[in-house]
Amino acid sequence: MKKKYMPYILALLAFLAFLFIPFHRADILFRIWVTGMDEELMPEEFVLYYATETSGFSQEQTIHGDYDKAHDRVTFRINAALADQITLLRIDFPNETQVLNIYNVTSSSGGVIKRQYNPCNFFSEENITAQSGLYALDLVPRFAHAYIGTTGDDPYVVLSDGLSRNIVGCSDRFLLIKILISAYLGLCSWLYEKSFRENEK
Amino acid sequence: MKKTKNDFLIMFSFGFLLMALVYFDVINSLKYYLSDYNGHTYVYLPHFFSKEYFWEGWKAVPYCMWHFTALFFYKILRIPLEVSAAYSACVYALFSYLVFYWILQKIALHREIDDGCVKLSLLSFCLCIVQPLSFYWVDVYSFSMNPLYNPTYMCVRGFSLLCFCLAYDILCYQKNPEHKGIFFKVENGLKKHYVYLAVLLFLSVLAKPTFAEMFIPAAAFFMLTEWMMRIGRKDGSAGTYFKHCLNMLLCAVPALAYAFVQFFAYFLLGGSYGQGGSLIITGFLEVWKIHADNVALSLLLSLLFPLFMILADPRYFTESEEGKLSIFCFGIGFLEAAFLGESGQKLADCDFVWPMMSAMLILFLLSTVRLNVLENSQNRSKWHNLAYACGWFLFAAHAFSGVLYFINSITAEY
Repeated sequence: MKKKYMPYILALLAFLAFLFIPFHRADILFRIWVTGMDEELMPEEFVLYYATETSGFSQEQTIHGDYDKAHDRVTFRINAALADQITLLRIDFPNETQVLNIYNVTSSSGGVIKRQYNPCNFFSEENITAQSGLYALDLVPRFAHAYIGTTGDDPYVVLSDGLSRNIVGCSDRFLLIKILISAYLGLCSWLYEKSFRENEK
Repeated sequence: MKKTKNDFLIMFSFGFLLMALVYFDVINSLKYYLSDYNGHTYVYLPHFFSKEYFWEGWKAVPYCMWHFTALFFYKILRIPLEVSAAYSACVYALFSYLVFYWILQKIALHREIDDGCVKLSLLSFCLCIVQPLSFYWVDVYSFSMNPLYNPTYMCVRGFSLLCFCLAYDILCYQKNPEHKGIFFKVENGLKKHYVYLAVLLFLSVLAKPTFAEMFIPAAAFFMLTEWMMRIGRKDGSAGTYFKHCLNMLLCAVPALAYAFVQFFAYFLLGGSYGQGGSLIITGFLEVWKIHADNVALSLLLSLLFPLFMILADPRYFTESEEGKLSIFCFGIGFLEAAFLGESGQKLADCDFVWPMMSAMLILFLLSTVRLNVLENSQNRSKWHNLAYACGWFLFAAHAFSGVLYFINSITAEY
């Protein structure tokens, strides 16, 4: 009797161990999906400043985001360990006079989009505590687009405390993928036992 | 199993549908300046128009079969450039489709399965378009077994499948001389089949060297393993098998020679877009992680169906010759993807992931073939039916992703 159940007990233990052994925390990918109204003007780089409980915005506390032309998006990689300390975020746009069309904002970790923001909510008055160098910030709720007119005078927006914490507070420990892999392995093994085991080669 | 007029009609209807989808896909993607078709059509192809720039063009794309086909339509038949590019993509899409159909038909004949023309056509069509699963909430890039956006990969696809089938028959005959051949009749010896394999491998390298980069080392490891096991058995068969290994190596020589010439032209003569890149050994999965934060999820989305078959029916993939060869292919392809890259700006281009993508297609093909064979076997309990349903559901999900790919690609506005 013991022998009969031993493989199942071992499999269950392996599953639980796999599930509960802590993996490292994944970084956060904060992405802004943006196109320039004039493609020629779109420069390569955006900058994300961050403030912590002990220090405010400074040149030392920046994360650079590259503009990916193929996907129309800027990606900032926020280190998982750093994310716990961040209290405020400031998005610095390129020093160009241009109109940026922002049509999606996401925060993902471990390969899964954890938060998706409507640009009209993201750049609404309650979520922006300060701004500079912008000559326009038009929200078009009907199309969920935010149009931001930037000048060459260090344009930026400072996000509110709540929104900043919301963006950085989604670091993943790969729990979903671990459950998916376990469930998938379980299903396949079960079908193997029930049907394929006695198949001829 | 003779084909009737209706069978041909059905077979070519699916082929025509595939060609139509590919045609509109190519025509639309040519408008996008960052697409592969745009680069190959407007940047590389014009190099071959005149003798003056021919050498420069060849250095940049020494794997120029697709370009010469497009050139044939453009220069000889005087068809507009964009349409020539689309037509040459259609030619190779149809070629792959017919090869898939031929493989499925040969296996059905061998296993005495009475599969109708509709089923074979539909499966072949689906195998031509299957894509990784995609969900809006997933933020990882999954490498495709059918990168339809790349003209040269689409060009090599048919040749790669033929090489695999021919190598399978040769390897089986070398192991057991009573093997008559499923795809090619090998009962009267292997001499001409070695020549066929050499030619097919060479053509695959001429189309794109990435399949050979994976397949030649995989076949070599496969044969070396068998040779070592024979040495261990001490039954005197190791010597004969070693001669087979040498014969197979000779088959690979033309392909290897041209691959080295390509490598030389590309990396040393400045063909690599003039960016002076070179082959480098990277950290484990370094290149992959540029595009996918979660490699396990990326792989799972690409190979959900083949992984299901490998895990649910592991004996087929560990004991049959074709199953073992496909696992060797994927293993080598994965290692190349995990450890190789191009230096400099081109690191993110993932140029050494292509071999793994070819191996993924072989896994897809064998998983489909295996599921079809099992479904037609005598075992039809409720558990078997459930397993077959799960398998076909996953296969259909990949095929549906392929349909979505075409819809998105054809309707995209640039």
